[in-house]
Amino acid sequence: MLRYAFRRILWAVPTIFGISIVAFLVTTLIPVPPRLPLAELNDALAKNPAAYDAYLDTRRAGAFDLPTFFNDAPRDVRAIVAECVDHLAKNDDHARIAAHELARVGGAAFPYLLPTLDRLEPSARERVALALLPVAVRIGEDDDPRAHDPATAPIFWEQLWEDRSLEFTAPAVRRSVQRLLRGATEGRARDLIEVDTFALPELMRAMRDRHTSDDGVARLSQVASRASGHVVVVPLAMTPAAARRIRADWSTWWSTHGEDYVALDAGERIFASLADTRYGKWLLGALTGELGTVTRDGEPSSQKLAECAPITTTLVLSAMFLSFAIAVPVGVIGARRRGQRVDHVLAAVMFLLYSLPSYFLAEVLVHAVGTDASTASRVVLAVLVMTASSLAVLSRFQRASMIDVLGQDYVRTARAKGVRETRVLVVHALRNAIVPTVTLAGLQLPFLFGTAIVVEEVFALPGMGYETMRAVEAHDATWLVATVLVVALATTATLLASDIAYGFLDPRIRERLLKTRGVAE
Amino acid sequence: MTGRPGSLRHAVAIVRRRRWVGACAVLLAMLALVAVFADELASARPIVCKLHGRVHLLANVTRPAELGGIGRDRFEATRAPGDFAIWPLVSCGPSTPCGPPVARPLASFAHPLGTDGSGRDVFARLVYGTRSALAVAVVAVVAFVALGAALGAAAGFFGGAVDFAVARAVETLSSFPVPLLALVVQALLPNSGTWSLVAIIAALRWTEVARLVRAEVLATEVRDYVTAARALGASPLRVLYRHILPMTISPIVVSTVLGLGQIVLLESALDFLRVGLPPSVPTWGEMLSESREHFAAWWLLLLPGSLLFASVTATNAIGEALRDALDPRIRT
Repeated sequence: MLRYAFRRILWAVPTIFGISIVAFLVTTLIPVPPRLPLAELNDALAKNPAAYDAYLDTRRAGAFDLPTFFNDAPRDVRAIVAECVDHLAKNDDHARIAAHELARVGGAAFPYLLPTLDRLEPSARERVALALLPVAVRIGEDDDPRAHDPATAPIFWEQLWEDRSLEFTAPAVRRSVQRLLRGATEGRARDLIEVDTFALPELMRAMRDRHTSDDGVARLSQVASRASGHVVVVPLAMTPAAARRIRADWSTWWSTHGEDYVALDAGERIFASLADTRYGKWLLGALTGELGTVTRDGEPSSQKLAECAPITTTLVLSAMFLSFAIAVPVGVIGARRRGQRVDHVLAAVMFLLYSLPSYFLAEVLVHAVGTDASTASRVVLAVLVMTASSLAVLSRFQRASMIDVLGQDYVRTARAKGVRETRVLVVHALRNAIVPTVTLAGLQLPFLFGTAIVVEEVFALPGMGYETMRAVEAHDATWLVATVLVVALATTATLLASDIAYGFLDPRIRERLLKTRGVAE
Repeated sequence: MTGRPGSLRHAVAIVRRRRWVGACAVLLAMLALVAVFADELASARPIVCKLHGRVHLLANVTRPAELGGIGRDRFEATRAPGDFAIWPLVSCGPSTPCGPPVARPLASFAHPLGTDGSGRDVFARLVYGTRSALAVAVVAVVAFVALGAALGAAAGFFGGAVDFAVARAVETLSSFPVPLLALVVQALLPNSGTWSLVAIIAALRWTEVARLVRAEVLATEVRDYVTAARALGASPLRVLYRHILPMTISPIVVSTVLGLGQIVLLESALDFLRVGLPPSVPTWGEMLSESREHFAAWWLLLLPGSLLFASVTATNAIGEALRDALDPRIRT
């Protein structure tokens, strides 16, 4: 049994992977904003660096400049330093952007930049050293006049590296972070400010740590904001909710910007070539439950889902329950009275209900009760409409499996023994015949969700379907993708559960599954 | 000569004996005729006319520029002696208002089924709605049946990695509610329209056909005559094409017929939610969604709704009768 359950769960893995790919492909339908040409970028940077940074941030948030599935050359701080120094040495069209980039990466670049400074041409060395001036401002060393003068700036930075290179190690930073968490003083914060962005990986690690107190999060956030330039508002009086928001904000920022501040070793490089892609970034976001913010009202989609999902789930589950409650007796009666008038009438009614477009039925009912009907009556009508459309499949399946069972020898034996007919039907036959019908529940789920969209829209019930239509009107891609993903995963989970339950009830299923190679029946 | 039990010919022979299946087939044929001859049933242009000495044949189809958007009233006003025109049943197009923007019930001889809230002729809209529903359904069904049959046959015949990939794709796509995914894709596509709708439906609905065809291929592959063909040196592709694929025709036919009704239903639901065909195309679903704004106008709700219901019922009835006749186990 355990082996069966394990195998079945293992087979769900490719499906879940496929679901994530489909949902991701839906996100790629949204057109990527075109990249600004280099001349315009240079222009924007010269006129308004803040706007230039904002432009880069939107491109990074959407991971627009990353490859879709595989990144053969993931960028890390070393690559960025090499690239920027190259442009600055050549002093080409990219030089201005490279200088800005180098200043943004800041302290994290020092271990790969400052020791190699004296290997550069004198003029190149000056340009690089001067580009670092904003970093000097950040780390509070801009009162030294040497940093401002092209001739002396290289000496200033070389000297700084000689004095402080010991601070630019992960253990030293970790100790500083721990000291800061124990209590905030000017000096402890300055230790971290002095290593600038080099502290970011440790700051983020501490922020993710569950033991970090809310005040600690606020302190870390302030230091990180100063180094990275990413502003996160920290309220004067910290609350757990504010701490959660700050943590979430930084984790989102780190997931899009983190690779700029760390150097990858060989193993991390392999991981990064998969993770530093549009799909990888999207998947990591989805896995951490951050399905993005709802663009039209700024509410996180996960929270909005938590609000509307119960309504839709209630509708779907009630409809499913009700259709089983009706379909099973109908199927049993049809099988018992097979070929008689009752059977034909029931089959015809079920068939007509099956062909009746659910939104047409819903619309007719709305016309009948009026738009200002109470919520309770609208919910009841919605459930009835959804039930009507799913009855036929279930009742026909139940009838077929009941006919199958009624022809078995043990049923004849029971009858021959003089067991009453109702007892034969319910206790002997139905107990076996109902199992295949119940397993249909998993397959009914996507169908009922599909119906729910239209029905909620017609009856104006604020569930997932209703919200989805509002999102369609507002072109709110985040919500649409989140809904698709959640519904598909819910379906997979239900199918998995019903398959395992089926295997639990019927050993033949287990054997068949263990023998075959997981190919859909 | 009715073929052996289980064969398509046998099934068709059984199904043809049922009177209500005949009625459904007649209904579908009529709808198809309506769709094909929509221009002759309702158009703002005459079928044949002579205006200012020039004769225009089938002006409702060719839409000659010199006639412009001529209506019956304008024609009567500008006609010279000797000019004549043969008009369609209703001389009103589906998209242009031909009256005051008020919903009127079974109004007059000119508008036999009344007008909608914008003053457009309901009869014309129903007729052209039939055309768009059937056109999308036929193209989409052909597309998804072809795709499903090809992938299903490949999965069953080649097995191994192909089979695994197809099986996983089927499983993945079955986890999504088709209306939801179609709706989302259609809403997010920058230039969604008729062809994107057809493509989406084809991409989402092929799974069932693939499953059926794969099962049939696997069942046929082990038959003696296939082994015999192989032993005689037939190449694998010839075995597939000549000996195995003909056996899959029954599930394909059943899926095609049932698919027609399902696609009409899906497509009209998307139109109802205004994410289906472009708004310029008249559809039943769009008519139904317009009926929400005119609550008292029952004909705007019931006419397209019953047409939709009737066409879906007819295709479902024929499809299920065929399926039952092919596989007597399901409905004994």
